[in-house]
Amino acid sequence: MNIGYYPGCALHGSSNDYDQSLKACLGALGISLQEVKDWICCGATAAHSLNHKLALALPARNLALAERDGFKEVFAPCPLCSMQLLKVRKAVADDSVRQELSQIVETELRGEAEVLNLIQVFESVGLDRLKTAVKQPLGSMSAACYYGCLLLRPPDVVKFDDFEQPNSMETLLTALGAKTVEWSYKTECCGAGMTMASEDTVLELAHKILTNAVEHGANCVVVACPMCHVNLDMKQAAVERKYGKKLDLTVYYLSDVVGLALGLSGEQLGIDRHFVTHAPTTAKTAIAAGPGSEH
Amino acid sequence: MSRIGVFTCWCGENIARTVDVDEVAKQVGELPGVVCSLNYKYMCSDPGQSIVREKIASEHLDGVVVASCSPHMHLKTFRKAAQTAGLNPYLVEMANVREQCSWVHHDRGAATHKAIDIIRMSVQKVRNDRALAPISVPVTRRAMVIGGGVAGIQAALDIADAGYEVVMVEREPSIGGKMAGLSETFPTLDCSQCILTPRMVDVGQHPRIRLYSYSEVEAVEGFIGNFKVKIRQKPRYVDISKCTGCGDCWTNCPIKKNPSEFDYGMGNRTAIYIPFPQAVPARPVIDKINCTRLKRGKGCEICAKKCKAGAIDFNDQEKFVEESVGAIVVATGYTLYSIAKEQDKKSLSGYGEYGYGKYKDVIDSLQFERLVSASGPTNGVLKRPSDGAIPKNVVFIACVGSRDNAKGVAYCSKICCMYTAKHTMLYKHKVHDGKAHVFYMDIRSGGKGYDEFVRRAIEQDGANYYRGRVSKISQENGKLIVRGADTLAGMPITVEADLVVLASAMRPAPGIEELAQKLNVGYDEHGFLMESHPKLRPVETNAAGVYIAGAVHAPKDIPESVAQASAAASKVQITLAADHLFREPEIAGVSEQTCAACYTCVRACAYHAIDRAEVRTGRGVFIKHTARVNPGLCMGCGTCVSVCPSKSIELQGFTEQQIYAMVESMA
Amino acid sequence: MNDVSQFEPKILAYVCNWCTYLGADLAGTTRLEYPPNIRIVRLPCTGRIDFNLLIKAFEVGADAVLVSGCHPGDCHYTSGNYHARRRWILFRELLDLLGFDLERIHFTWISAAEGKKFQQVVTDITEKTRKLGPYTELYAAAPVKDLPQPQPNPLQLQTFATENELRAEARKLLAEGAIKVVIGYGERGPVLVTRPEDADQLVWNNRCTANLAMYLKRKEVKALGRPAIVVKACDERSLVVLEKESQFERKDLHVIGMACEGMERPRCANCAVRTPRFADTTIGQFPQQTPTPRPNKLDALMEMSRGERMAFWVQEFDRCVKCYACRQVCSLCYCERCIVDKNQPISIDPAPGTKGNFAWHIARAFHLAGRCIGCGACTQACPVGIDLGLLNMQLARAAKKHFAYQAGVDPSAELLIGAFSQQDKEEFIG
Repeated sequence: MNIGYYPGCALHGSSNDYDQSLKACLGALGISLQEVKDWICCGATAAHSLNHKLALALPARNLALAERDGFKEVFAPCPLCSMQLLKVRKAVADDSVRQELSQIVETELRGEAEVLNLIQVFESVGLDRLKTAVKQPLGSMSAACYYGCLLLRPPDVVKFDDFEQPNSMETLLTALGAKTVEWSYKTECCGAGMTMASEDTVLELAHKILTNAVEHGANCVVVACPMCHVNLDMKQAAVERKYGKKLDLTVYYLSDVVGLALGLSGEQLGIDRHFVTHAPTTAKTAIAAGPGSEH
Repeated sequence: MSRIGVFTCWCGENIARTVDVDEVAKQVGELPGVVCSLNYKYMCSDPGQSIVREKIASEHLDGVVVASCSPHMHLKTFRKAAQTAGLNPYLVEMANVREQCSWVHHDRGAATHKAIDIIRMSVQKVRNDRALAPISVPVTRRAMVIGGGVAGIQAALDIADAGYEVVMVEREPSIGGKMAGLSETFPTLDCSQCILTPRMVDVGQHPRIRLYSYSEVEAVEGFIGNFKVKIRQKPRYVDISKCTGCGDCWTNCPIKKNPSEFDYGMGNRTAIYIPFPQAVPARPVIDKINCTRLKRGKGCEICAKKCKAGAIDFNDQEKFVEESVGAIVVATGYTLYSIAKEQDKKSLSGYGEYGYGKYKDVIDSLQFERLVSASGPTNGVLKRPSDGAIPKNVVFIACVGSRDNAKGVAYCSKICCMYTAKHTMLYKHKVHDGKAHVFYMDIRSGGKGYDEFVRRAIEQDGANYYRGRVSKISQENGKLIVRGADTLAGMPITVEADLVVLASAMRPAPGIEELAQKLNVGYDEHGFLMESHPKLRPVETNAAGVYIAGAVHAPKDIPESVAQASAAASKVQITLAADHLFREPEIAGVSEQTCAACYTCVRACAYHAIDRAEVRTGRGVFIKHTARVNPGLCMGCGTCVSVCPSKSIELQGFTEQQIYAMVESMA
Repeated sequence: MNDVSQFEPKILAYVCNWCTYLGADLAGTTRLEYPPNIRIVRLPCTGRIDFNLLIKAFEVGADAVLVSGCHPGDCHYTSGNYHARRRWILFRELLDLLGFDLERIHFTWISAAEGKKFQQVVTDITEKTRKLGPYTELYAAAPVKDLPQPQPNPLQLQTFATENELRAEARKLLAEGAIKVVIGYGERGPVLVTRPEDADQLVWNNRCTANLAMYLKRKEVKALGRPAIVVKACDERSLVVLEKESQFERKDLHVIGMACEGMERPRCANCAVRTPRFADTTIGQFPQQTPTPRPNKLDALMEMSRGERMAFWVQEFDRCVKCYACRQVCSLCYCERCIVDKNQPISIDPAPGTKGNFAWHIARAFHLAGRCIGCGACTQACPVGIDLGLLNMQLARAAKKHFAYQAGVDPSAELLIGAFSQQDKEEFIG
């Protein structure tokens, strides 16, 4: 399977560990991620706050480049990048918009390439195939699946899962033999970019999320967004300091969990590079570790 | 040979000031077919009408044109005058030379010239008029009421008390509707059952009301005055003519844990059950899905063994009955919008943010009514569904599904602001140290004593009102975390509630669209039945003889439902007033020999007044297919005439011949 | 009195009784003045206003016509104005092709409360028509531009491979006895084969252009008993329309569908569906193809000016001798008493002459709006070579453009006339 890979700013930068995890996990499934050549910024939040056309043109160029490179599917691990691509794909259903954007980005944009998120990439491999590929069942894992904001919203753009009560990640993890918990903060905001502008906001929100996960019996959190990972993992120590409690909750990327189930090691997946880490070197110990456990 | 009389009115100065009425009378007198032309100051007055009558007789007129005001003013007046003089009233036309001539033009010459043109057209029209007789339609002087809630009950009692037989069809085992399940009603806090059950008993005992309970309307044929309704009686498995209502069966039934429909799942009932003690008829019904004997075909039969009257009949079958009635009132009431993910309409989605119905202690307003009702499943003690604890913090959320273009319905359900205030009061009266929290958008309390009622809830009974929406309900440690906004304070607000009550949108009861189609009544995209005119004809529908009352028409409260029901009853009484109904004869008719039976007219008719029919000889030999207009239903719009390619269908009073004659006279 | 030399336009208005007529009354009650040129004909509903009334108004000399009724959704009779609106959307396209001055035809919604609007509308129309002048171009002759003529068909006869299969099928059906007549193509024209031994009279070649569905309406054919009919994919559309219009029951007809790679005529190059879809017996199979667009006479006509178009049709209809071959040959003209044969009143002057010829062809074309399947039989049958198909094509295009509707393609789609949608577009209605 040949998927166009759009890493965006995060995956080559501060969330480089996610890039490592993805390549290891998907590589083990025979999925080759080929970077879209010459990709540019997706526009993130800055573009649409300032100029509507720019906000469409930036992801339009990326989608057009992916199509030019011959990809039928594009995978953007950051949900914001992914949502921008979906947004422009929806907009170009109007042919006059498509033509205008093609002109602006100086590349023919057909709007035909599918845009997938990580969960959809796994779904396209097939749950049955994944089940049979499991080498290390995740039986001791009790995961709180955290979706955050942009994986599911805006619903008329993203059109994936139920944006109030999602369960696509849970279905996937259950197929791999993990337990998941029903908890109340699946889709609550982590604070996103406030991590730079207003750290206290992020700490408060992250605190609520992590605490609720623990209260509902989770021994880890699973995310599919590099920003969420930063706010829940990198900032966890600051949360612990501010609120005076120990959380010690591993925050896995979804690809980490799938990779572990496939038998890859923590180092291969880059789990040892997380901030909250129990420095396990084998899959077995990685999963068995939970809040407050010794390692 | 035409003998037309033209009577030009001065209307005092209103016409004569601008139009030269002498010149008009003179010129019009020379039109072909006109044998008499005069003008007079006030044609509509008694002496004016006398002139018309006198000339009809003395000049042997076969057509009359009155050139005066708009036909909307006095056409009926002059038609009556002509009739008393022996001239068929449909041979009378009016030329509008006031509203559409003298009042809008000031050039005397131009206005006079135009008046003559207008009269010329009317003369041509009347020359081509045919004498018509009002169409007599026989009337079966009985009525049907579909739906036994408070609106249906009111309509049935009014019609029956006026002396007519009423057939009532109710699909639940008992009449009473939603009102029978309410605790207390606003703004009086009357006990709902106390005010309703006497009327239910009146219906049950009324000598002129025939009640088909646990039955549905299967098919409707016919038209106003002549409906034939097929009713399907669902099997009760209890012979209600033998049953005494003693209760030995249901008190001994071993299958006890079925969610009660009457309690909206808040309590249980047995497999053989009576929905509530005051049911009318007070006779049980067996739930064939959960009853052991009916499920397996054998076993149990405890109820039959206990029944001293021998009324249990496990072999009961559905029965069909036909009733003939002259008028039908539809009062099938409402249901509440569900927040579940599965919906019966594509335009609705449930409320995932409130849990899609998975939280036991998030209930709707009707369920709350049962929990606080003295005769409810908890005997009036407010125990929450999950663990029976008395809730100390109750959140009431208004506008759930209402006023919501994204996933609910766009309209306001009207009654929720009032009953939410009522709920807070009932709650506080029962749980003195409890806190009631209401999340609202606006307060709509427009009835008599209504706003004062809401203020009482806030100021005397201490309900906390927050103007804002609730964005999420989640559950932690047995408490419901309700997160919303208080826009007046400008802050988000979180309430830890023990119970949440949703004021869900009012929707028409399920199955309304199928019923409306059987009755040929229009309905909107929500299923509410359409009235003929929103202001002036609020209880009639475009199906002649079918009337509506209550929440099936639009969300409304009990006083309005009762008022509308009495209004519908009075319309029914007009319809049933005599053995025959007379309808205006300016309707369509098919020239059956030339009809090509393409049935475009049948499809185009808004009143389903045209049928596919056959032309046969007197001996019954088939000749050809044809379209045929039902004179009982046609409203005379003429849409059929335009779509007919062979022009085999004509509209009396507006025939092609007439219109062509009018237009050609302008050449 | 007005200046005698100033032109006073004659304006005829057809209005509905419940809205616009009352709106006009309201203008009177509130004494709103407007020019006296208008004459109002009161009808119960705009649903009653058929297209022939507009033509009649112009025939008697109106310089402008106004049609007005209740706003959509407010019709006193629920839906009459929706039916009227759909009719006008299509009719305007036909009038446009014929070169009628659409500036002289006005449609409005005026409610009983809109006395002021009535005054405004009447004043505007009167002044506008005054500027346009008297409607003298109606049916006026003028020099006509030349139009591209279609290529003549080569006459090389080519028999198709499935001819024997067709004959065998006909033989079998007639021998089995349930079918009493096979309506098919013969060597010199259509044949009605009633005996199995005559099945060889049937041919299947590149001259089988006729649409045989027209024979289904004939009494003499009906008298023969249960028929089988040979149709191409294009003709089959007639059957779809006829069945939807209750002219026969599907079970009473046996359809032999011939897959066809094209007859020798230009329009076959445009064929997409080449195999009949609903036949009882389908002989042959050709996959669908994408038609290539080609320039045609209708485009050329629509590029001409309005006056040039009117002159063109005056010249065309000048040749019409009212033989009604176009009506006889059309499979969808099945009214036993055609509107032109009605004489109380005479809505279409039966004698050949400009007025009656225009009225006839407008009626014929419009009665086929949303029904004509474009078989071209009318054009082929016309003895004086009037390109009648142009009128039908214009309406077929209008049906597609405004309602995404094509006659006889989807048996489950509701027929165009007799139905309406609240979304029918109405930019031209004031």
